Amino acid sequence: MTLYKKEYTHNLGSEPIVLAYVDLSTLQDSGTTGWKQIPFTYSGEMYFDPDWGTWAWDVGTVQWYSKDENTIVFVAPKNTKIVADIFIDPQYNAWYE
Amino acid sequence: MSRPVIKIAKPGRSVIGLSPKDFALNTKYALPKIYKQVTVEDDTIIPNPLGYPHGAWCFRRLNKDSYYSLGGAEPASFWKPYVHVSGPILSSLFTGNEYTCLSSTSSGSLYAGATVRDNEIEIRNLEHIIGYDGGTPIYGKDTSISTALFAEPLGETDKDITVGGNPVLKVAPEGRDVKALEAYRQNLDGRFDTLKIFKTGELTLSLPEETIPYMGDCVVRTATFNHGLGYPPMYFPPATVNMNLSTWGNTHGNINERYPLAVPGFGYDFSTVDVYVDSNNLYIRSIRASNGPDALGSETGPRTHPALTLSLHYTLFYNEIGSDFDLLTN
Repeated sequence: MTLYKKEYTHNLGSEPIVLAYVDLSTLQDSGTTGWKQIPFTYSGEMYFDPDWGTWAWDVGTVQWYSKDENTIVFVAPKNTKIVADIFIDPQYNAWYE
Repeated sequence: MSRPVIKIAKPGRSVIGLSPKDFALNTKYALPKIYKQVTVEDDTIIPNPLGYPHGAWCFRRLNKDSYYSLGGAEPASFWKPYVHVSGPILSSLFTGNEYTCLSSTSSGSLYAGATVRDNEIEIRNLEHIIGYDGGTPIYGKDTSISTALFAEPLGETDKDITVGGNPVLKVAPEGRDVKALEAYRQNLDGRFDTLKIFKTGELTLSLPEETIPYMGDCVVRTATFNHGLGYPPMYFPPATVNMNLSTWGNTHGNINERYPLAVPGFGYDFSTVDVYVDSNNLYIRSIRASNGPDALGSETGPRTHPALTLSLHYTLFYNEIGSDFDLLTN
């Protein structure tokens, strides 16, 4: 399964807490509808792998990660709809430690 | 247009010139609004009283029958070992009082946990086969699934919602009329619960280079942070149990960066990592397995695991997993 990346620049200067969700009706091979929290990895359709001569599951991933302190990268199959809540609160070195 | 803003600085600092991340409260930014927490033991569909899709955050209550893959990756050749998992840990993985974030990955299915639709919320506590009675499969599952439901819509909506409770403190976004604005569009609405940070920090687990004898028992190591809350708290990041780290580097394992790539089981490096909480502690647990026979049934030899440091930059919330309420009806 081909995965695509899309960057979002938040310019917070720290890696934030993020709660993100995917619209399953837009997710390739999900076979269902509704919204679910990401990240996750899932199995799509079976395909024949000529290199191994066997059938295999096409594995997809929907996830996000912090590329740096100002940028979040979302990873998903093409045309997947993701909505994210980005918090001011950093994942690292918050003042209330 | 002037508007009221409530700002509370961190202890010992002035609100003047303070970075946004250093405020205890700053209503210039929207607070997440939890309208309901619900715990279910079986697959359940509840009506969505909001009428639009919204966020949901799920936690599993684990027990001895919870899904936990003991499998490894398929060997790359006939002469490579299969994973061998044995030892006392297999009968004491979980006692029934542990909680972890629900990840569709770690549960082995995309359908586990909460799926939110316009008019319903489907919460699934999936069963899996834990053994056989003769030819009849025996099923096991988590004790329960606890879900926090957020009021903010995941898209455009013109629906309004009715929230009970008085008195109420509201702060609207800049330029908006606080009286005319729907509850979910307010930056602060005191009738909802929110995420309340208790503590943040780093928990590390140092694993030495070590060799486990052929078909030897698993080596288990655990690091704990004593939160002392007396109940299981929600935590971030949503790392979970049974995470294989095969794609990680061999010298450092930053769980915050890598948990989205984890797959369930023991993978290519014959190890798995658990992140979970109970009423007293936050845990990182490493379980390292040994080599079993190869595909031809021949002995393969001991397995050497590299030195590795696992680190988790955690955020613990005051919010209690499994403390159910419904703020739309009270």
